[in-house]
Amino acid sequence: MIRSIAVVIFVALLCGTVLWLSNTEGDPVTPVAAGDDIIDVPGYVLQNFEEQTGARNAVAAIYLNYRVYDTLFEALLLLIAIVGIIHFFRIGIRSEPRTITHQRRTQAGATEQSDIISRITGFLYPVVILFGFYVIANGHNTPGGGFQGGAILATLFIGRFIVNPINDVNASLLHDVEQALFVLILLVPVVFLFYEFSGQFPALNEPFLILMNVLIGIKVCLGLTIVVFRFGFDEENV
Amino acid sequence: MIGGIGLDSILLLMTVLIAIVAVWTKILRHAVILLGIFSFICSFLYLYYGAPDVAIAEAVIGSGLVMLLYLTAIKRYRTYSIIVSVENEDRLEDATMQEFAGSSQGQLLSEIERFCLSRELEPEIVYSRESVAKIAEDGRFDLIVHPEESRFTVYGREDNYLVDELEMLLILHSTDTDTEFVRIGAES
Amino acid sequence: MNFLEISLLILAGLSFGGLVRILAGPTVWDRLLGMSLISSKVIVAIAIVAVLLDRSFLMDVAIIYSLLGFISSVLIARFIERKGEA
Repeated sequence: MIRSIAVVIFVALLCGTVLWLSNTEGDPVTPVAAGDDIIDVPGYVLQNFEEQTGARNAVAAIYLNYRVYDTLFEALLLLIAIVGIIHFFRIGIRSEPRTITHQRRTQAGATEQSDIISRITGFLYPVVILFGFYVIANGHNTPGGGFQGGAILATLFIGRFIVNPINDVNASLLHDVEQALFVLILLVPVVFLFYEFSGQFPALNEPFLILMNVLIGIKVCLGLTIVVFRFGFDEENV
Repeated sequence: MIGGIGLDSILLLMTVLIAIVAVWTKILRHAVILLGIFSFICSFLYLYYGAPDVAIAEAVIGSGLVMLLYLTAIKRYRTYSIIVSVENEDRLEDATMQEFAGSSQGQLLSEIERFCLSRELEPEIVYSRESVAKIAEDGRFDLIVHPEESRFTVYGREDNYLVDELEMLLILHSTDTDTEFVRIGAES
Repeated sequence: MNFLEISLLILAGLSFGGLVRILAGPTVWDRLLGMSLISSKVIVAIAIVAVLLDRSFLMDVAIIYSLLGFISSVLIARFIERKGEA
């Protein structure tokens, strides 16, 4: 009884807080001091990002040009997480492709694939691939970008996992490709931005953004695929 | 704010409600579904507040990838399938199930359910028109419940240690209906 | 308050109906149905917001939501039907 009353009070307080927060005005953007001058950083970025970076999406301009360090360390973070997952589930990995829990499913009797699901997923495949690449390659103009597009492509592999649960993904090969892509992600901005090519060749700005988005997209797709398949086929390994 | 009273307040209240229910549900699959809806509404709110990039990332991660990871984790959480054999019904309709759940025999069934939850098993109740022998032959059960006019027969597996405890519990609880336990031998 | 805003509010109210089904629904399938109900409402709401704010790129987000809503509901249904075997 006391417990339920406590829960009701808690819920009421939370709801009240939410309503109160949603009705308060946010603070106005405070100017940031840089040296002696006072510079309004968000205003500066919003005013100049189109001519300085060649992007039409301010978010892409920030994470691929102004604050490219963030992107580099984010990519490193994902890479380290995947290294951890691969080594965490290292025990008992089988090399040959194998259907998941074969004996149990034949015993249960429900082995046949659903016709509707395989057909609809086959129909969705090209649509999702096309859309994923659209989100990646158009990330500097519309919302989206490398991470989102890569995650969309990775959901494709989940669909494949539902329809046909066979573990034929070569995780170590994918991981090697991912590491090579990480080196590229590290090299391209260092060469392009830190040697100030972007100021000398303004025409290269937009290709640089597209290249970075494509690299990040493929890297994220490979990484998330490794994670999903590792978790999905963890059960038979243990 | 687009609508007069603010669409965001309604959606924020919904997220709070869903989050609390997700924490308080006993059945983990329901919690996973609730979390999927939570991230869906959350990403719509990001969109509403003018952050479409974050909204896309939240939708893709929250309702696609994370859900698979949670569901694979739940695989370790065992389900306990209870099959209710209602032979004498001509057709299986929602009304008959509700009628059964409301009767005194349904009380026993909910007692079994509570027992499963206390043992960290997820009860899964299936109503079937097959006869008990056929279900037993099929082999996909942990417990078969066969309610009749004045008797309540429970068929359990011989090798399942939970059946003994369940028998004690049900005999204590059933005063007006006969409860009988039958053990089915472990099949090959 | 024009037609689009009113329809947005009606959509929000209707998604409360789906929420009731999710919170009260006796089986897991009811909850799954409520989830796909809410996701379809959210997709329509995004389309309406795109028209209201005159931002065509929001339609991209609506397409992503529809693809993901389908994939995730199929995923959960498949998983639960097979008791967690893929």
